[in-house]
Amino acid sequence: MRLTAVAKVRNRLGLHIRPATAIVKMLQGFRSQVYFTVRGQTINAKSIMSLLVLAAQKNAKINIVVEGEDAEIVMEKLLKGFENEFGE
Amino acid sequence: MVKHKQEHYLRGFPLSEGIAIGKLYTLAQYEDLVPPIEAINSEDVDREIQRYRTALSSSRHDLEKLQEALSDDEGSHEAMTIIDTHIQMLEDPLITTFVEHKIKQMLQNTESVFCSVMGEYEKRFATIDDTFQQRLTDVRDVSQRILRHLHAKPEERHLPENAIIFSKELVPSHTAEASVSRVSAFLSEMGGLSSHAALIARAKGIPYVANISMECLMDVEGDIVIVDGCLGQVILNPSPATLEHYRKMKESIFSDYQKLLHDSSHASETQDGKTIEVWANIETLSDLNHPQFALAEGIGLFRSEFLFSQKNIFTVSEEEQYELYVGMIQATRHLPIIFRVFDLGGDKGVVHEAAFEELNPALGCRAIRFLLQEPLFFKRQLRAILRASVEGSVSLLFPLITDLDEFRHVKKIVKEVQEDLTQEGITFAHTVPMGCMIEMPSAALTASALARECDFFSIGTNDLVQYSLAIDRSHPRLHHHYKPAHPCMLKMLKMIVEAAAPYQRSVSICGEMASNPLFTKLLIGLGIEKFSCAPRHIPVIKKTISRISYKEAIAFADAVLQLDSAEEVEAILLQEGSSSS
Repeated sequence: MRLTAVAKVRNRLGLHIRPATAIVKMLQGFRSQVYFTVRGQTINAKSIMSLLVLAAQKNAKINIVVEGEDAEIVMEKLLKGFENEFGE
Repeated sequence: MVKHKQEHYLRGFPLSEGIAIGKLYTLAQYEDLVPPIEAINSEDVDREIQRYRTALSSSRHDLEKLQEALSDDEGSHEAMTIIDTHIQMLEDPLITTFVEHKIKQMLQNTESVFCSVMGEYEKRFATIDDTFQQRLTDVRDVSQRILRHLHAKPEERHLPENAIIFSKELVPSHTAEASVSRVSAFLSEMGGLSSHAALIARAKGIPYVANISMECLMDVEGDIVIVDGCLGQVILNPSPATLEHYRKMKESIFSDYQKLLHDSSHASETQDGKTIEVWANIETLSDLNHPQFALAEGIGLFRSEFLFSQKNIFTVSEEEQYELYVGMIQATRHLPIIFRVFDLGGDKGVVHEAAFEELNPALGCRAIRFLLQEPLFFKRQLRAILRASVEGSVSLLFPLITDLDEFRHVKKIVKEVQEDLTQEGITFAHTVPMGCMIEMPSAALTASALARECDFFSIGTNDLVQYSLAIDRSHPRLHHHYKPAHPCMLKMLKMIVEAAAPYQRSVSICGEMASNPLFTKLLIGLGIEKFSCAPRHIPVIKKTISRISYKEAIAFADAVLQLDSAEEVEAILLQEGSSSS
């Protein structure tokens, strides 16, 4: 299954080290591939180093693509995560 | 390069306070670790990959051990989060599978393949925004660690006792791994207050001064240097007299600290019997359990916004606030509490949904200005505090008051809240003293009007310096212009005290000046009778007070007020600090 959605970064400092770490940890154990696209740049969201290089600021819109057998639950968790600022 | 035989003062930027005397030890730089490129045969690939995997697993082992060690430390929660991120990096596909793939493809030794992959990665970083650049330090930290494990290690140099560690740039694990018993201070060329390395140094109580040029230190490797993390200076080739002075200062701070911890009954009065109160600045409920909190005579600054996360501060209900505040009042065993209402915006960041980007947040809609524009939000907190005040002795403090008009506006809102509560038949404290934070030059200059209509002053020196000198103290190129010892500050402090006197308003001081013992005598001489600082600073401040003669302090302040330059003031404070210790 392939799902796409758009999420807004709410964290005050953008997707800096803390939320980026939270995202990578959240995705651990899921089989789906997860990609984030910002300003035409697409990265693997399971890679902390790629997330950091994405440099998504507060209010940036992120295109999310989740592809795999557990895509639904992964997408739900991600969207919830963006909503609650990944627990920040 | 000239060898400095003479005593040489280097001015840097203080990131973590404290004093250290020790031997300078320079850490190898990232660039120093770049290995030569060696071609390998395809049959060596498996061996290289195996070597790489071992290096990754050793790095992981290091970090896990470090995390374990940190978990015993108090105040190292931040450090643990950072180390956690480093562990995640070791599992990053870019580090694991991609590097292995490149070893196969490039047929070169692991070190050089690794460095080329990281080099490419850093290039991507170079194009992005500044605030994210700092994170590159974390990536470098991890890659240095991996490289160290890959190297056929040259013998590690022995870290001298009381080492003062210098590095062009300090990475978080430098400060996290430092053992307080061996490392006495950190110095670096780059680095700011908000860097992860600085954050960890502060949590561990190790002095740290940044913005020190590497060139100045080239010839003094292994020599004794002094690091003054309070003033942000480094002294090379210290003269015997300077050494003695700092040794005494360090010893007395340490022994007094130890003694004071066991002597909470110590009265805080000067040698000649003038009572000076020392109160505590509190951010969270856990600060109340701080061992040194027991020494406080009250809570001089309760930063109420810290009780709530940035996310829910706008949605937390009156009831929830009320219960938290009551819990707080009960937990303090009836010490008086000065509640500062939510101080949001500026460097604390406005996170409200309706907030717009500000060109100049320090001059923008922050603190009381924000609350006055959000009256429902403001009133909700006021209702909760006024209701909770029945349980103890509470005062209200309003941040960033500009002038009398603004304070009258605040009083009007408080009155409305009281009237509402009365009408609704809800119990609340009817007489709650109301004070102004004096942290803007406009408030300092019109303090006498404010004194007439408010009940007390609390001077926030950090903002007062920032607004008087128009200096952002976290600015990497201007921080040395941030001078609390500036004559304009001293004149304003004097003015505030004099404005309050005819109305018998209490004046307390709660910025960083309050917790720096170098300023204590001067502040007392200027007429400050109440200090409020973080619990960990209380023992030192109390001890400093007990050694001061009130009479002398007044004469000293008069003399210092005659000085025209901040440098002269700093020099005399240092001299005074050394002779009295």
